[in-house]
Formats: sequence, C-alpha cells, structure tokens
Amino acid sequence: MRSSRTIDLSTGLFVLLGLAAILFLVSQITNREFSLGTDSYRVTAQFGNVGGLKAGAPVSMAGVTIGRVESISYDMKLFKAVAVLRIDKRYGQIPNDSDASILTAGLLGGQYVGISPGGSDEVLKDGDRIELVQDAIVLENLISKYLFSQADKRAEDAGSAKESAP
Amino acid sequence: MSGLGGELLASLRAALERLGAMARFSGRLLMLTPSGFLRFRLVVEQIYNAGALSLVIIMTCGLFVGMVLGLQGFDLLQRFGSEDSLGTAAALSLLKELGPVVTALLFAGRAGTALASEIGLMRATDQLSALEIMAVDPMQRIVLPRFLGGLLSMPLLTAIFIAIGLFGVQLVGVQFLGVDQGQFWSQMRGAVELGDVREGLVKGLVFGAACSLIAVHEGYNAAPTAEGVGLATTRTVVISAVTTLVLDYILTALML
Amino acid sequence: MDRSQQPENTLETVPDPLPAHSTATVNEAHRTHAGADADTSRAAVRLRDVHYRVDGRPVLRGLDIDIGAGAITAIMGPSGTGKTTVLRLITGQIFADSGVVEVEGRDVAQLDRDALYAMRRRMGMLFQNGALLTDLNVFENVAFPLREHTRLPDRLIRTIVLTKLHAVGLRGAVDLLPQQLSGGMARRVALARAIVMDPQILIYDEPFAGLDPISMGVVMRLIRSLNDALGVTSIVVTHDVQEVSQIADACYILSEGRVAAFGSPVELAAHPSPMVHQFVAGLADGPVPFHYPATDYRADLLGLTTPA
Repeated sequence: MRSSRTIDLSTGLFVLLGLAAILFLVSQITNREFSLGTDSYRVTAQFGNVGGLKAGAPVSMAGVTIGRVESISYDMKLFKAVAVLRIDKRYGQIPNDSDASILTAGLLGGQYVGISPGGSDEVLKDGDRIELVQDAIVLENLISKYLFSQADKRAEDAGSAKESAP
Repeated sequence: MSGLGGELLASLRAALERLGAMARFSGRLLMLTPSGFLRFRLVVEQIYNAGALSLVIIMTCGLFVGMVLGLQGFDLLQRFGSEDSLGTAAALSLLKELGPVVTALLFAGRAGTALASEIGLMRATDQLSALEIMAVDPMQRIVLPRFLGGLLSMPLLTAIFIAIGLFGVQLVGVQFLGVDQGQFWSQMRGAVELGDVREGLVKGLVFGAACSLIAVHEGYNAAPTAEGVGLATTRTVVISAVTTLVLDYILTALML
Repeated sequence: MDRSQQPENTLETVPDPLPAHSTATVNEAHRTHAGADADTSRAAVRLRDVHYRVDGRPVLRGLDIDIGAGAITAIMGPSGTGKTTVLRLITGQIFADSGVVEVEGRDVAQLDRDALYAMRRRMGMLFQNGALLTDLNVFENVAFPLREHTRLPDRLIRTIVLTKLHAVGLRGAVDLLPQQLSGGMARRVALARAIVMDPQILIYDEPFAGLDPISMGVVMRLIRSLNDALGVTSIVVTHDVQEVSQIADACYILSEGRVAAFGSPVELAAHPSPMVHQFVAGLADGPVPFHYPATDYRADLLGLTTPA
C-alpha cells in the first residue's frame, strides 16, 4: 500500500479534476444566455393550434429570448389551447397589442413563441392576455390548402377554356 | 418436459432468493452509511482505489470515444449539410447516454472487479471472519468504505469522461475535419441545457451506486475458494453491465 | 530464547514444560502442567445436545462438550466431522438448530448484537492461515483490536503491541507486511493479535497445520505457556494427535457428529474403542475404512461388473 500521503494527494487531485470537469460542463456548454430570474410576470395567449410547442420552450422578441413557456393547457369552454408565458421583468414594456406567433427554429428545430411588438402605449402586465396570435403552421393543412388551391385553379382554367372555346 | 420446467422454476427461485438477499444486504449497507463518514480516512482510501486508479482508463477511453463520435457524427451530419451541429450532437449524446453508460461499464470492469476480488479474497482467507471474531463489523469496516468510495467516484469519473470526450470530438471535428470552431461551441451552447448535464450526472451517480453495490455484494458473498473469487469477479462485470443498461432505460424514460 | 537472559516479562518465568530436547512422555508433561484443571464444574464453554445441519445434511447430532476453565482442551476428529462448526457455534457466527451453546454461563443464541460483540471481545481466535489483514503491517495488525475497541494513546498501544510480539518472539518483525512472513511467522503474529486484548478464552483452529517441526514446536510451547501465564481457557481444534497430546489437558474426539471419546491424552491412548484407537494411532484401516465403497475387486478387474 502506498504511503498515505501519496494516497491523499492522488485522491485530492482526482476529486479536483472531477469537480473541474463538472464545472466545465455546467458553465461552458450549457445555454447561459437566459435563466429566469425571480422577477418575472405571466401573460397568457390562446391558440387554435400550438403544434409542437412544449412547456419550457423559449419566448423571444426579435430573436432574443425574453422568457419561457410555463405551461400549455386546453380550455374546454373556449376550445382553444392556452399557453402561459413567463417573461422576465426586464422586458416589462411589451405593448399590449403585440402579437404572439408560434415559430419554428431552423428547418427541423423546436418550436418557440415569437412576439412582434405592436404600437400601443399601454404595456402588458402580470395576468394580461395577448390578443393577437398566430397559430402554429401545421404541415398537413398547408399541403391540403395547396392541393385545393391547385384543384380550384385547374377547375377555373378548364372552365375558362371551355368558355373561350368557340 | 417437466424436468426443464422444474429446473426453470428452481433457478427462478434461486434468482429471487439472491435478489432478496441482495436487498437485505443493501438495506443494511444503507443504514450504516451515515457512520461511514465518521471513518472518513477509510473512504478516502477507497476513493483513491476506485476513482483515482481508474483515471487513466477513463481518460483514454473518453478521448477515443469522443474522437470516434467526432468522426461518425461528422460523416452523418455531412449528408444533411449540418456539420456545424456536430458540437450539439456530440455534446448531447455524450452527456445523456454515452458518458454515463460507457463510464459505468469501464468502472465495473476496472474498479468493480478490484472491489469484488479484494473482498472475496478477504472472505477466502478468513479475514472477514477474523474481523467478526474481533468484534469488528466487517460490513462497516471493509464493505461500506468501498461502497462509498465507488459511489462518490462515479459521478466524477463520468464528468471527466464527458469533458475529455468533448475534447476528442473537438479535436477530430475542428482540427482534423474543419468544422468551424465558433459554430461548434455556440451551437452546442444554444442546444445544451443545464437539465442535460444534470441528467448525465444523476445517471452517473445511480450507475455508480448500482455497480459498487453489486461489486461489494458479490465479493462479500463469494465462496471462500480461489474459484469462488474468480466467479465473483466475473459475475460482477456481467451483472453490473446488465443492470446499468436496464437502469439506463428506466432513468431515461423517467427523466425525459 | 536464551533462558539465562533476564526475562522481560512474566511469560519467561513460567517453567518450560517442554525442555529443549523434549523426550518428555505425555505423562510427565501432564503432571507438570500448571492449571491442569479440567474441572468441568467450572466449564467456561458448554455445549448441550447440539444439532446442526448444512443443506439438510446433519453435521452435529446431539453434541455434548464441556470446556474446563483455565485448561487446554483439544477437539479432534477426522476431517469433516464438524470441528470448525463447533468453533463457529462458540463464537456465535452460526447458531445451532437445536441444543444450547453456553459461553461463561450465557446462551450464545440469546445474545443481542451488542452483547455478542462484547462476548467476542473476551475471546481471541487464531485462524488456520493467520488471517492477518493484508493491507496493514505486523504492528498495525496486532494493534488493530486496540485501535478499534479502545481509546488508548499511541504510546500505550505501542507498549502493549511490542510486549505481545515479544511474547511470540517476533518483536523484530514489526514493520513487515503479512506477505513477507512465512506461514509460521504469520501464525505467531496472529497469535499476538489474538492475545492483545487479554482475552479469557483462546481458540485455535488447526494451529499446527502445514508447519515445519520447529515452528510446530514453537506454537505448541506458546499455546501452553500462554495458557498458564494468562490463566485463560484454551480450545484447540486439530487433528495433529501427537502434537496436541503433549500440551492438552483434556481431549474430545468427535465422530459422526457426536463425541466418540473424551479424556486426558493418556486415557485416550489406551482407549478400548477401535475407532479412537485407529484415530490416535493413525492406522490406515479400521472403523474408518481404507477402501471407498466399491464392487467386488475380482469381478471389476475381469470386467464382469458393468460400470455404475
């Protein structure tokens, strides 16, 4: 058995190395941009379709994260999805006619809530509701819309072709 | 036909008995844990035994796993034109799965077998009996410090593995294959959350507890012969590996 | 040890019952023993009608043993008769299926954990292979019980450890590791460790096994002189009849889970039972047969019997 001094030294170094590794992982590779301070306020938004939006998704304005989606639930009376957004108090001057849209980060990325500012003088306060919303884009609806519009267009062309035929 | 069924039943029963014995063993060990920190010197020695002595193998394997991940990840992402996401992909897979699982398997192979054979040898040479006769509880003096040493070492080893692994990914991706360094790290930072790090470390801790427990249990209950010790060592590796992978699934399902 | 030297502890003032060139007959040795008192009314250890099975196979079937206080009692018998089982019953490592095991008047099976540990602190046991802790050197091994159970200052621990090591003749080996000791030396260090807490009962599990004649002589002498100097009760489990007969006060011979014979070594040497006689004299054939049960020899050779 090595002398206890060597053991202590080696163990100490090992533990130090381990803690340093943990520190590295925690600080260097995680998303440090935004952590919700204790000062935050809540607003709600009602969507016809939240698509793939999940609780914990970021809420951003002009691409900068200002808050997080706290929870998403379905209201049986309104028949809409209600999202509760928690926004940092630092960003407490959002006009109350801003609109909230569900956007997708990148081509295959996760979904988030983007807020585009309106022009009102009044600002959103804790508990307010964002009136203007844009639902998430659901790919199937998009495709069927396109197909229908194509079918309509062809019908029109056929119709007009018939009319113009002598 | 009934002979096969009877054998199956018998081995099932034996497995259940073993599980029960192990549960009692673990219960006893857990109850003793607070007192383990009173003799901290012993625990320190065991952290050295299980942790510091495993450093070389963990760091080496971490580096190479990272490098392979860099190669494979780059090749895969390149097909979609997303090489810049290499950092993200590698960090997440290392943090959440590769890191804890591979570290646990290596730990079981190096430290687990050392623990099992040490204790098994003590069993075979009557040292454990001698301790009992000298009115010293071998569970407290021999088994507990080793269990705690392994338990405390594992999360540290996991973190080191992941960190070195990331370095390996970076080495291959950025230095060798030309991924943009800035993109590598910034994409990673954007996608990796504190929760992911927590997930990896929690897994490391749980795997550490499981593998250490299995190792000391096998050693303690080894048959007091040379073959008994060898068998205990083999069983430690096998049972640790299976348990780690099963726990991995359970933990992942719980934490996602 | 040079007997003309000034003795440093009381052990060397005990008259040596085994003079250098020992031609002492068993009789003579028996008579010169101090404390040769197999007085069973003061039994230190008592086993009554003890039954014990291992995996359904009975190992002990109704064993009655009385170990007299202050004397050396030997427990002998062919291999596998459960001698080591008896020891483990006495130390409380296992418990009898039925029957009573009493140590110093208390039923071992009834003791709770703390009482059991307290009882064990009054015992010292020497294992067959020494069972020294491999990561401690000789000094630390002998000091181990002191460090675990007492709060004595280092100075005092050092004194005690060196005294005990001197008694077994290994004071100079303090810094060696168990791996560096020969078998005999390891056993002597283990003996020093067994006596370091001044126990009341000393148990020896096959103390002579695998030793060369010199080491064997040393161990024999130590068992006897320690027993007399410390006034302890010694229990020796062995099957070395010649060796133990020279130092034991009383002997038990076990066979098939029961006591086959009991008495002083002299009495056993003249015992009428053929089984005892075979054992004591070391005869190849007798009640314990030479041949493992087999079919008729001639028929087997001529191929007249089909293999089992």
